[in-house]
Amino acid sequence: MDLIISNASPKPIYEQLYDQLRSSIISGLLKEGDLLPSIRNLAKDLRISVITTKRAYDELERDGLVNTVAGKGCFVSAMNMDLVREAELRSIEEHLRSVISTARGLGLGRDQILEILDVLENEEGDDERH
Amino acid sequence: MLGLLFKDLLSIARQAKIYLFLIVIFSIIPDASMTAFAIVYSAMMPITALAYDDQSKWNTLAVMMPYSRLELVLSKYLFGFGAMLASALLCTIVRSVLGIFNVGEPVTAADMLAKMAAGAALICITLPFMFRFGVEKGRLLLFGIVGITIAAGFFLDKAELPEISASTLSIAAILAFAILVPGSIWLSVKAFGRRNCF
Amino acid sequence: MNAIEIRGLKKSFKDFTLGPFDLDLPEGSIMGLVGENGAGKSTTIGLIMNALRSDEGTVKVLGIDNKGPSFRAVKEDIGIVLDEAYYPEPLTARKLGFIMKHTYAAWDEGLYEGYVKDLDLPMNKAFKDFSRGMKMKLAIAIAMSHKARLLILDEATSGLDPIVRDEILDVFNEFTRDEKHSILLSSHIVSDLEKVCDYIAFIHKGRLLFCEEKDRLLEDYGIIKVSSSVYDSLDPACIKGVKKSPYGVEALVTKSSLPGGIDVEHTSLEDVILFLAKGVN
Repeated sequence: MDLIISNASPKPIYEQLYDQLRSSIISGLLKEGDLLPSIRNLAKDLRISVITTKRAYDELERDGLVNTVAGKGCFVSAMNMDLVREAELRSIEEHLRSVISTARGLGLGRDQILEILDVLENEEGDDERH
Repeated sequence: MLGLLFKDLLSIARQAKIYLFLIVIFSIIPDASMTAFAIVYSAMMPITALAYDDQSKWNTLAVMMPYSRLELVLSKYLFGFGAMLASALLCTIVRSVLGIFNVGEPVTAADMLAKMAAGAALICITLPFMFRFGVEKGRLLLFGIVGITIAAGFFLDKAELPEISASTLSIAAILAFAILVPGSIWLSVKAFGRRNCF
Repeated sequence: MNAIEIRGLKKSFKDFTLGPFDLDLPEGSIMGLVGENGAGKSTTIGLIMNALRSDEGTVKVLGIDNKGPSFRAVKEDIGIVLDEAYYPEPLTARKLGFIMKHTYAAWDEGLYEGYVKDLDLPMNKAFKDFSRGMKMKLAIAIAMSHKARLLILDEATSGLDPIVRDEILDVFNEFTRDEKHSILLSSHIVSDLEKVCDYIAFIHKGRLLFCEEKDRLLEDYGIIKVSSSVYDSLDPACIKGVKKSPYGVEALVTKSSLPGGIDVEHTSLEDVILFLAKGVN
């Protein structure tokens, strides 16, 4: 498993770690029941703070992607597709919120947004055909 | 405290070797005062060790190691007394060996003890001074005392003194040291704290 | 448990007062003590080890009061590296090892020899012939060879070249792989602290300005470069430090309290410290 943490990125380190672990879990690279490295060892191997690593793990647990067994460690949870779907839906909502606010800032209304959506979908369709 | 004693010994190892050589030479010379010189000189060993401590600021670190301030001070006394004892022993051996060949003067316990007492007194007087004012000033004091003692000895020799029995002298000496040694150590510990290692 | 617990610590000197302040070093973490020369970092370390007597306040190290009789035993578990290596000149690494064997109950000869070898140090060379870098490496080797649970380092990496510094920071990183091991590292080389620390405590002119999680500091703060007019329009509460030039203003801000639309740059720990030090003046 590759984990690349960048100090120069504006994204907080715990978020970078969270995102990469999450993708690995959703993509199936980390399977259900796999044991994640201990918080401390991962932190030391990545040369990041233990506090930050713990934060990422806590968020993964909060989002149901992993669960901690006392004394044993952190295991990847059974892929609860509902939870994943919910998380993805939340993500879409956030993105749409930001689109709406930016559009408002430019003075664009709902119709213009939908126009853009059409154009984009057509583009994608074109790409797929070629 | 063993670590501290080893440190002092290893620090002055070079001087100690030269010194061992000198003791033997002094012992061979058939003049009793040379032994006195040897033993008293050995009382200065802790001073050389203290000089290294001062120069490297060892005590700044040592107070953060598992040693108490008392140990740091006491080790210098033990080192001095130990050096003195070792020289006395060495002198006795050399002179006894020479005695077998009828060279030089015989060794007497009183003789050795008196000289060790002188050395011990020297240690007890100079160490507190050094802990307080540093090695350089301490060395000056040391030479001052030695000078005064030699001069005093000279005059006392000339003067007519009443005979004091050996036993009275011994008791007096023991009492004096019973006060001098702890008193000196107490002063040194106080001085050590004041000198503000940090 | 806290490896170090400081409450109300204060020490007054002729022209300088340190504290009073509280500070906790949680077990298992690395805390960087940052501040300019003379800010009070070394004094703090002296006070923690009771090499210097405080005027007020208490310090507990590994749970033990540093002025109590049990503190002497606790020093067995504390590895110290000061800004200079205070060993008598005629001694060699080998001889020091021998002395330390009779100083620390848990002295591990094999471990010591390993460190001396890994750090490329000569066993039999007199200390007076060591370079500064070598002296510090030896002091670190000694500090790590008696099963210490807490390392206290005062400017231990200053004066070392970058390659050696990095090696040593790695050693510290490994040291805290064990959750019972903690490190207090004082330095004015902020970039070193940024690499390894979990917490940063900033001492400035004798006052503890803050003690925060390093990553949170870097998340919360950002740098903006704007015109004077834009700067003046901002809420002063979000400005933490400022640098003005004839051509504009550079400011350290809390990202969350900044109004939208202004470009915020990611900041390094060094910037945060520099701005905060300026801002307070």
